Amino acid sequence: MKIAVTGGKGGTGKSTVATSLAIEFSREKKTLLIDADVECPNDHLLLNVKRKKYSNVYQPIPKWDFSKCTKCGKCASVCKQNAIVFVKDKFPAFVKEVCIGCKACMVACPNGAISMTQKQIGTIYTGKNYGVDLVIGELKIGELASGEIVSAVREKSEEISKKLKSEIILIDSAAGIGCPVIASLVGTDYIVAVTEPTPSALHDLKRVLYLARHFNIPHGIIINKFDLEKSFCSKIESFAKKNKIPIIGYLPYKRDFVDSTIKMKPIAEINPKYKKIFAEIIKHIGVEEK
Amino acid sequence: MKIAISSIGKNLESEVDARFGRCDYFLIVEIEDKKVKGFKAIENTAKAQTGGAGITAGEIVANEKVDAIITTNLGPRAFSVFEQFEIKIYQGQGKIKDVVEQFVEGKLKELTNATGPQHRGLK
Repeated sequence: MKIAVTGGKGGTGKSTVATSLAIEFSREKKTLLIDADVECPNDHLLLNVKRKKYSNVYQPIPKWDFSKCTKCGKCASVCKQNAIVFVKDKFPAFVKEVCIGCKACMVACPNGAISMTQKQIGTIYTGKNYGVDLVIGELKIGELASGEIVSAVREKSEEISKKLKSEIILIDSAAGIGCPVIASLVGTDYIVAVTEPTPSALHDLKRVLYLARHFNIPHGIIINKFDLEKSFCSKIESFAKKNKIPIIGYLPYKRDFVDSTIKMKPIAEINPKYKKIFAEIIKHIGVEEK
Repeated sequence: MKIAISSIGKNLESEVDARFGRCDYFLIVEIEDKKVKGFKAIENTAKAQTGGAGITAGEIVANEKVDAIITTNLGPRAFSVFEQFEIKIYQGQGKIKDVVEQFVEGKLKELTNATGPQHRGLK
């Protein structure tokens, strides 16, 4: 079973929930956690994992054979990223940092002057702690194709999970609803949307659940810091009720979570009462998924 | 020869804009026999772009067939464009008129690297 942990707004507690759920799942089932927040992965910090490099992620970039180039400028005109600059009578200039590897330039070139080479855009790491196998995707600084890294890390995870015989694959997504999040959600069996009682969190929650509906994936809401603003929490509850979305868990606003981060220890190790909360959430996911 | 200068205003009395990609205008100055033969101002339409202003600004300037540019700061992407087009980059500040004079006299420093990271012109 594949479960994505997402939420829309940043800082609602996606990684805390993902790592805690992974630990709870792993008590009974082989569990693999994918850190798909590739612009700033941090699940290894929360799980206190010394990560090991597994492989590099590459992206295609064009290479010009100027002996075949007629300076027609077609490559630049099809580049949506504006990575190719064309000025009449000059060979095209290429800014490789901005290229996302779509290959349109190669297709557009009437003279076959463009072939593909590659650049490294990220790294995949692995590690293990608290019974959880962790696979991490990390985008290289300055690179743009975060969705590519998510797809790559998910592909590698398929390989790894087959070897490990993982029964549960948890995917901790990035914030937002963009490319990397879409790449995290596709092909999952259940989506856990972590939110908090603030207007911006509810706004973003609606957007990410729109995606969940679009992909036709069953989903539920966890309200983190629910007791921080009870009147707004009830707004989220009525939104959920109106749209028939189950609320599968509530997490309190407590200092325990700060201690968990500082001590690099899972929240259930800081205070065992959270073990029960996450076990309940897992029960909910099992019921809702069917 | 033709040079482009990042500028705050539209004439030779204007100051050099310290930012390349997000300057207001480019002053295209034609120099002959070490004297200003003519000039024109073109608007930097890349200025308000959310990203990649340096690249587009580089394209605008390169389209004017200039041999060199003068600015105070430019980022790595614009630098890369000029490097590939073999357009030289000189660093200057102050009144355009004075900077052109310094350029003609060979007193300006040629830049061989970007002066800062991308997006600095946004700050």
